[in-house]
Amino acid sequence: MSGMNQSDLDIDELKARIREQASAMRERAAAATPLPPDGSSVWSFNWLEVKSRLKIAAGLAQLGVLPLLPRFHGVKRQLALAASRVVLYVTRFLTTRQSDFNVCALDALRGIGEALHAVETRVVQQQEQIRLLEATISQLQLRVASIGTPRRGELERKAS
Amino acid sequence: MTRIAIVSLTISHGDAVGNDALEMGRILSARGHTVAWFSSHWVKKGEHSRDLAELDDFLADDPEAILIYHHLVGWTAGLDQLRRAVCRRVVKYHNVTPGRFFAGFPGDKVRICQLGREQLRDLAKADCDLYLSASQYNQGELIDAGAPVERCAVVPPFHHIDRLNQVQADADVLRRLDDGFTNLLFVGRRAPHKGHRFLIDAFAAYHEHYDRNSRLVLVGREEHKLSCYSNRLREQASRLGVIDNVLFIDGVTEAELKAYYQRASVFVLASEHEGFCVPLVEAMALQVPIVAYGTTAVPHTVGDAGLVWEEPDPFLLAQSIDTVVRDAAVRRSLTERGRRRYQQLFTNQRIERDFLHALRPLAA
Repeated sequence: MSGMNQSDLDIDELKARIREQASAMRERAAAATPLPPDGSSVWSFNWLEVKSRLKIAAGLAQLGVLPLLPRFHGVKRQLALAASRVVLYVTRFLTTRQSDFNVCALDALRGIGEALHAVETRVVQQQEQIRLLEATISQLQLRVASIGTPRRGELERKAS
Repeated sequence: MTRIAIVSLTISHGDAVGNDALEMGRILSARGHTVAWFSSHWVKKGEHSRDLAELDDFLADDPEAILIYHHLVGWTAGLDQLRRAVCRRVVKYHNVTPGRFFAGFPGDKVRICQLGREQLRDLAKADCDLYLSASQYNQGELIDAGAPVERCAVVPPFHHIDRLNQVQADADVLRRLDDGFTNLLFVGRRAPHKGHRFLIDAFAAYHEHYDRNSRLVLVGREEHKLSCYSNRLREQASRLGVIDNVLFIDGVTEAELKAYYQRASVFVLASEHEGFCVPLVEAMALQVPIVAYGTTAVPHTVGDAGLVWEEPDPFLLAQSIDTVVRDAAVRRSLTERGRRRYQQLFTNQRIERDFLHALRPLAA
């Protein structure tokens, strides 16, 4: 397909090919034993997902906000909003403290999340370094083995 | 100049209908009309945002005024206002999700959606002056419900892509997704008709048989009272052994959304019901190739700019993703087609032209 421009692309032909390949892959997959779960993803921290949830929580953290009351209209809505204002005013001694707590807890969670993510990044980097070092050791061991025993004995004598 | 009321159950930045209603009003306002937006529940009010109860005062029985009613779910108060109005009336139909998708979930979505479907017939027979639809598919439904063909026009929804183009992509998201993994992206609220279960099945097939270094990013707010739906999706991903590679991202900023598009190798869609699907247009504009399950309005929106299938077969979707990811020529061709389709049909300038053309008999 290389060198093809957009006018060359025959979607129907491409779809027919994809359909055939998908069918072949389905058959191969049915015949194969399922792979075990990927070991590298045993511990994984979806920071983007956590961050998006923290953002939603931050939006809800402040209590004492008037509800939208979408089910009420006209006079009923005005009355319901007035009642909500009264309830919010009366419970202010509780909601203020709860809001403060929510904000503090969220800040702490955010900090823990960032720290955890940093630790995870370091662990992944160290695992990669270990993998590289292991590969280097293996190569060195092979080179040592490839040097003949007499030559090695000579080298050992010189070293001593 | 004409007094124009734009009426919708919800109007807020960040959702497709809200963007459409707000931009529509901005365009009419720039042409010198007096525009106000009316809703029964506002998330955030602007200068010209008003409660539905104030609509009668605004229209003031002026027969030359125009009421533009956005129909998306059942809303009796809104429909009553439309019926009562003595001015010229325009319906913008965004489609109503069939209630069956929400059966078994908490909340009254089934009732609201069924009511919306019933009210579509009432709207179609309400002898309005103009019926606008977001897609050919929606227009077909309106005509089937009894709307007069000669008063129907297709006008895609206005969108926020101009803002997405201007905004700087979020550096944090860009950095975190730049790790050599293949990123498959879906954007859309987390609701049962969006076909997440097909996406997860397809991703599991792709992840296991094509590319272990891949992830599925599901960007979209969890629907109210549908946390159990999210839980089911997580269970499914867990059962298939891909839970660590499926990201559920709620509520993103425009900068973050742009970053997700920029890091996406493929935009995948398996929705079972779409009235138009703005994210498809976002993908085309931001040059992300599309692989989709082609139900309802999806084929009309994508055209020849993506690989669209009539069945949500996981291996078919997985093989399509693999082809797009591996074959640079296919990828380039699809993104070029998408970009061209966006520029020809779906830019806000083009939509503005279509909208004003359709509205010309009513407002100069």
